[in-house]
Amino acid sequence: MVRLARFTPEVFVDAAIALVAEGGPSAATIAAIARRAGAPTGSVYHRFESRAAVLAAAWLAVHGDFSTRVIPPLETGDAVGAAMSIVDWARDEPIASRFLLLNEIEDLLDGAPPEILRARIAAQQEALDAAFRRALRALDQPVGMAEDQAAARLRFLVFDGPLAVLRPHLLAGRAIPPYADDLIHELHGGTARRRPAVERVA
Amino acid sequence: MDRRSAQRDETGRHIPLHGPEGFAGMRRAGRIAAETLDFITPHVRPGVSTAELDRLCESFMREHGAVPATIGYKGYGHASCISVNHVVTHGIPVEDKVLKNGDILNIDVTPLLDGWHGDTSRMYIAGAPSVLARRLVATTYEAMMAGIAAVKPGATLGDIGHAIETVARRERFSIVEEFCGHGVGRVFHDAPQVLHYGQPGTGIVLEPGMIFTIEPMLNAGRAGVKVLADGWTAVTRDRSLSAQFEHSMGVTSDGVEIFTLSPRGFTQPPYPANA
Repeated sequence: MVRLARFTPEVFVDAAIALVAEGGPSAATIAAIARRAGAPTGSVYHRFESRAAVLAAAWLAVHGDFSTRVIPPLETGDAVGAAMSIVDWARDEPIASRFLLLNEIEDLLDGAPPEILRARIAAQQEALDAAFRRALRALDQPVGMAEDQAAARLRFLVFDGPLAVLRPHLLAGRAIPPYADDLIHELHGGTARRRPAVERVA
Repeated sequence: MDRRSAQRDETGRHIPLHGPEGFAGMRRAGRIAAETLDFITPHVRPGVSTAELDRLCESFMREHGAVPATIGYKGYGHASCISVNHVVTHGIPVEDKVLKNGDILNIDVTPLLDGWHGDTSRMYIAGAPSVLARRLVATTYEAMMAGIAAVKPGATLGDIGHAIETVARRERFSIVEEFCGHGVGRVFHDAPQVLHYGQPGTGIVLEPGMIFTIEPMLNAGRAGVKVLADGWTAVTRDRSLSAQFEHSMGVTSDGVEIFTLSPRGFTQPPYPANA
């Protein structure tokens, strides 16, 4: 007596992540996701109501993993550590890093994901944003620098700068070279100093 | 106590690795299953109802000390599944389904003996089949056996699916993807799930002690199926003919042991006239 073929949601999520990493968002059609997972096309719809739902789940999985690496150094006001955590994550997770760092979420989600997933995406992004804001408060900023400039500066040091270092290697599918670490440290120089702990608490 | 493989199937379950006791149990249960299908062979003819065939299968299994595992399984109420013509699988035996000349049908039984499930099915033909029906049935048997031939330690489930798919595509028949083979033993439907299509070298690596079924369903038309309102009967969407064979088997140290081979040497129709 046959059984109905069943697949865990993770099988489809992993397939979607790999397809986007290899060919960009347009490569992750429902048919391609099913084929990659080795499953019937209809079985995707047993687990997800739409392509956007699969991609949203993929984003949540990858972004969640990314956040667990980046948030701890941000929470301690360690800007260099946060930047380096992104480089290390990209080394450890080449497929996931191509998925997340080379694509905007708007490009991934062609169509609105279900409300519950949208809420989870917003909450997960807010957790990262909140950690960033706490790092911003914890770090010394150059005298006289406006708040928005200070935020842009820290965003560049922690996110945009490292991404600029990683991007050519991610696009080429190459391993991240050791000199990427040197570039990050050079970028930061001595600028990301922490305030004394007593001031952070205040 | 059976061990479990470190590998998980697509449903996240680890795959049992059976020892000598499991193989011995499956041999006994598999033999009753095969004998049941041997026994029913001469009864399959135009004019008989699928309900009558089911009753005969049930009596045979009980007389031989086994219990039909399908009765009560997820609410199923019969000793067999009998799938006629465009019914792909899980056909429910009924009084008013009377076989006609040229019908093709699958009879699927799973006797439970001493805690072990012997799961097997064969195709039968009532009277004289069409050329297409005969070719579909023969190809489905060949596809199943090609899948079984791929079973050995170190091979993958993808190798099995690919072997089946290759035979089906050569004859331009489609493969049903919604249903799959499965691990079997003390549990009726266990890990792994055995897909009847796939890429060579992909999927779970076979290890000695794994026990599962291979049971491809091939359609003469398109692959699409739908399940009827009874919750069981799966039919081809385009009402094209469908065929299926099934064996239960175990991975040995150097190959495969089929537990449900016919003691009388029956493989595929036409079966001997004196069956």
